[in-house]
Amino acid sequence: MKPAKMKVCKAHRRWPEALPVMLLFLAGTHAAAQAPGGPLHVMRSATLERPLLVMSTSAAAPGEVYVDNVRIRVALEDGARVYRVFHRGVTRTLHVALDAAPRYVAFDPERNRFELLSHSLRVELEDYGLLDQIVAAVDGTGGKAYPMLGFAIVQLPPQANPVDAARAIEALPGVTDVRLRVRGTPRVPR
Amino acid sequence: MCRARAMGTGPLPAMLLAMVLILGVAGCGPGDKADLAPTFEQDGISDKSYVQNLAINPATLPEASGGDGALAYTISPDLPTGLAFDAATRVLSGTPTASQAATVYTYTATDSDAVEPDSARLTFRMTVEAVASVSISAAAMEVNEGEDLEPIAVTLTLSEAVTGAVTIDLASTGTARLGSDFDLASTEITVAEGSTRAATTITPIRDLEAEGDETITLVIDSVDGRGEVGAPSSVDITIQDLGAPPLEPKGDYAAFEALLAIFSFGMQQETIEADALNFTVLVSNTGTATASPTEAVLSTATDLFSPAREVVGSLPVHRLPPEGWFIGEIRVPFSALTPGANNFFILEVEAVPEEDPALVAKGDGGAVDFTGFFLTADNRIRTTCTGFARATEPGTPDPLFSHQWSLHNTGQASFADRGGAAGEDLRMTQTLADGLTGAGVQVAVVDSGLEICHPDLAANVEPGASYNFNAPIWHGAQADDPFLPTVLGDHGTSVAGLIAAAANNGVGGRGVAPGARLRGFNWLGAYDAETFIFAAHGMSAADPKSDDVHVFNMSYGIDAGAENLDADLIEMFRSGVTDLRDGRGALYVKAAGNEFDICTEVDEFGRPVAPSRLDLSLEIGCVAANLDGEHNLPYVIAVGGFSADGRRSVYSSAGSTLWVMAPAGEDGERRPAMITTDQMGCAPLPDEGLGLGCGTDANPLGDYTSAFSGTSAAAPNAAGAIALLLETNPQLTWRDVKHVLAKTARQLHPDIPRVRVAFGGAPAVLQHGWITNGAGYRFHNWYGFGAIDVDAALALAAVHPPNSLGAFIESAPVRLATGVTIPDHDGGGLTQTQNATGLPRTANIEAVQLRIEVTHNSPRELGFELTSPAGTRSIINPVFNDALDGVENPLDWTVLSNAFYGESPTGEWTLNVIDAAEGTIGTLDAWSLIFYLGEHPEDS
Repeated sequence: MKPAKMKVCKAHRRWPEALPVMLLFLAGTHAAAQAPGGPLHVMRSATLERPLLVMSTSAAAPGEVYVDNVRIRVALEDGARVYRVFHRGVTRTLHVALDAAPRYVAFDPERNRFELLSHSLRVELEDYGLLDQIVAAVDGTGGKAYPMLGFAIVQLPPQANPVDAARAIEALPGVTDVRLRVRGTPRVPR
Repeated sequence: MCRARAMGTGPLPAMLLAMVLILGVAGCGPGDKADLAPTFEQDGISDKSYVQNLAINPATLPEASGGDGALAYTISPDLPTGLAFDAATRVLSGTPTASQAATVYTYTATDSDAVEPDSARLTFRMTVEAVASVSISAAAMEVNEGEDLEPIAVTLTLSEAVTGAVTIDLASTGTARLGSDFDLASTEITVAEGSTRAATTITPIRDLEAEGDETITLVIDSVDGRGEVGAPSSVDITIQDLGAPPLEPKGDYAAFEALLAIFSFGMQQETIEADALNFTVLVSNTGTATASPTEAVLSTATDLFSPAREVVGSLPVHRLPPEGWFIGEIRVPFSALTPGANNFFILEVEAVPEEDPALVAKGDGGAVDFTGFFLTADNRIRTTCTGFARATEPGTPDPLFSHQWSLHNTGQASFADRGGAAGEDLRMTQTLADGLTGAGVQVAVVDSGLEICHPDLAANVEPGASYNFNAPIWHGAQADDPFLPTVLGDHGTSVAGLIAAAANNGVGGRGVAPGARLRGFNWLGAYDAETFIFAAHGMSAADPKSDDVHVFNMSYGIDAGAENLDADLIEMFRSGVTDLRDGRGALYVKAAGNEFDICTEVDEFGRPVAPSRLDLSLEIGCVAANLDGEHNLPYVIAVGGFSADGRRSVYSSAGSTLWVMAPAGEDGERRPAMITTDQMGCAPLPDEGLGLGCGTDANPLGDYTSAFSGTSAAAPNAAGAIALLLETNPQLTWRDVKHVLAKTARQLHPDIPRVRVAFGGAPAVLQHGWITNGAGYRFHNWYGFGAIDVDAALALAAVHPPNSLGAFIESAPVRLATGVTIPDHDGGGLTQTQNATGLPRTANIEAVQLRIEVTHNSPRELGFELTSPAGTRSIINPVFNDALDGVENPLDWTVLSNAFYGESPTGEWTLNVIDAAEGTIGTLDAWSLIFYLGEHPEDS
């Protein structure tokens, strides 16, 4: 008997490679004046050269913003915050109930679809003894070093802004790389 | 004058007597008028051998000389029918029409002496060899294209045995085409001398096209030797067409599909609070049409199957275009539930297409998603494995052991309608007698949970080593207790029992390795699994401690969409086999998948999504085992499942990524499933415990089930066997273990036929029968190297020198960029070769990865076959593999084959890519090979 699970999407869901963060806080700069106002971030992968748009499901105000060739419109409709992403001739829509807990969702322009984000960051450090300090610096809920793999995982509270956390970590001494993680296809008992 | 041979006694005794009298009276002396006699110059006539019905070369018989007067020539006895002798010209001619054994003929020349005729005679033998008439017949006049794929015998019969071999050439006419609709084993058939029969075979070739019935007319075209075309000279065989899709063709579907809105949805018990449950609901539209606004309704009931439900929450789901998402939450306070009872939660969402509201579909995982919890009388949800009172009786036999066919198959029914075949088990009779238990081997069950207090598991649970990743969000949960709070069964607890349920404790059955040490990681149910994936698979020294695990049991997988693993995960497994177990490597044992017979043939409305291949689905499978990225790594042992009758379990996914098979069983109702531990107590489900029941004499407390199956069961049976191997020889490396398993695996279903189908008139083999590769290993895509034979494996493990397989080498990719069009709907496909050079001369293959780069809008139509320099052919991806349904274009996918194990990698490798369906044309952009190598002198 299968346990309750979150089945995300029937379509193919391949992970992007973990994404190194090159944060362009567009919404906080020129884009902020144009509308959504809330956090909207572009995150580009150094390996894939692919930007992801990371958006808060709770803080964005109604409005519209362009990021590269992607147009994002935020509206409040019938008790939900609605993101409409216009890209390559199609519209993708995300509805989030206003009373739902805050969370962050990514849009992948290359695949032209939404992705769920993991509540964790992949961090490469010069010294894994620094991990506790890094976790504390971003109010993380935990951290675990995997020296055999060459990185650590920093756990964030579900409502934390992963982009802000990533930027904060990246600025700390001894940190050589920070990447987001996107939730992959759920594994289920078989 | 009486030349011995020329002087005969004559045919006419009276005349001879007269002649003698005359000679006696007249004498022969000078002065008498001589009575001359004819004579032949030759000593004789060569024997004549003719062939029936074959005109002879006219033969002029010798002329005699002498005699008195004209000479008359005769032959006696009568010539064979059809031959004639012209006395005037002495010519023998004609065509013998009947056979004749060797007969002595006398050729006589008689003079015309009126008084005393004289004769001269020669004798010779004449033989007319028989010519047989050749007729043709077939064992069947009709054959079903889809089912009767056994060859049909075609017999050529001679009317009689003849001298020398008879060679018959056949020709085919009719509407069926040789080579695309049927195969003829030979068009030239030889009947050996002395025999009257020879046979060839016709084998129909399936296709998926609606062609109507077709006929094969086989005609005797010519006959060489002592034979001729007889009657019947031809035979007609009808191939009954089953290629017509029984459902509507794809073209009609496309228009229909545009109207569909299909919701994929689910709920997650994100948090268990002190006084409430909080569900997150995610709805996504995976269809192609916009869905009208709808509602997600959560209702509750104390009986899951009762129509009486109470709505406890709902969410308005907005109009959702394709790929649209809706996220919401529903909080259910315990005050809305029934204390002291099971409380089930049912989520229902309807997808109503805007354009055609009649096409209402519900979630593709079923109409509902549901879960359930027991709410105690004091309004709590139990989140730890406490409060259960269970007794064991150490030293007392396990009452269910005799029913465990997987350990000792006697043909017992195991609480199903009927049992299987005796001996179709793990082959561990000696191991059981020797008392091996896997003692000391640490096994992690990476799963949904583990009841660490289960009476049959508790003694083997490593204290404090289990881990509950959800402890932070489940009120009252403890970090070292991965108890699953739902009441719908705990998959992990059943998996654990197959590995290491305690033996001889008076309750239940036993595991394969009842002395192994268990720990449970509830990673599958973790609220953010990606965060914890590394910790759950051996990379963590604490919270949880997983770096001391020897065997990881992974009875899980994805259910759609083939994917490559990301680099971090690949590195995780590589590190696990490199660093754990003090460098000997952990064993990652994974369920191959249960999707063999789950085809996306029709949608929720019963409409077709592709040209029918239902007749193929039971042979090559619907979703191949290469669906899971982990299976395409050499570090993971993919285990398929077999039934109590020794055949592949009907659901067990197949493919070249398989390593071995282990017992898994069937449904447990008609045919045996596995008997194992179950979440304690009797869940209010109709199949609880199935044949074993719940609250019955055999299962009084509901702690066991006889209905557990799936490759989820095969993996722990294999993990238990591996624990026994590591107990026997703890120094074995992960590669040693794989080697021993492959070397000692036993063949299942040895006579399984190959599967061959024509596409566009060109036949393609979609699945080979058992092959024996260049290193002597047998392999089949249904079975890998075969079923685990524990006794044989332990015997080899005891003597196998640890770490004796040489250095493990991963080669650089051997890549060929092509950009060549793949022929559309052509079983012949595109074939390319490239050479693997520069590899160690003494290397032996341990696995081969194929990275395939293809641009194609429908990659599930593609099949890939790889052929090694040794000639071993491996279908590395079967056509119509639903693992590729909906994947991105272009496809860049890495898949693996174990079929080449032990062979040399050096030489020419051949890739054949076929496109099995019509209408979508793509290109093979590039293909690469990566070799994982060792050095196995015994395999070279």
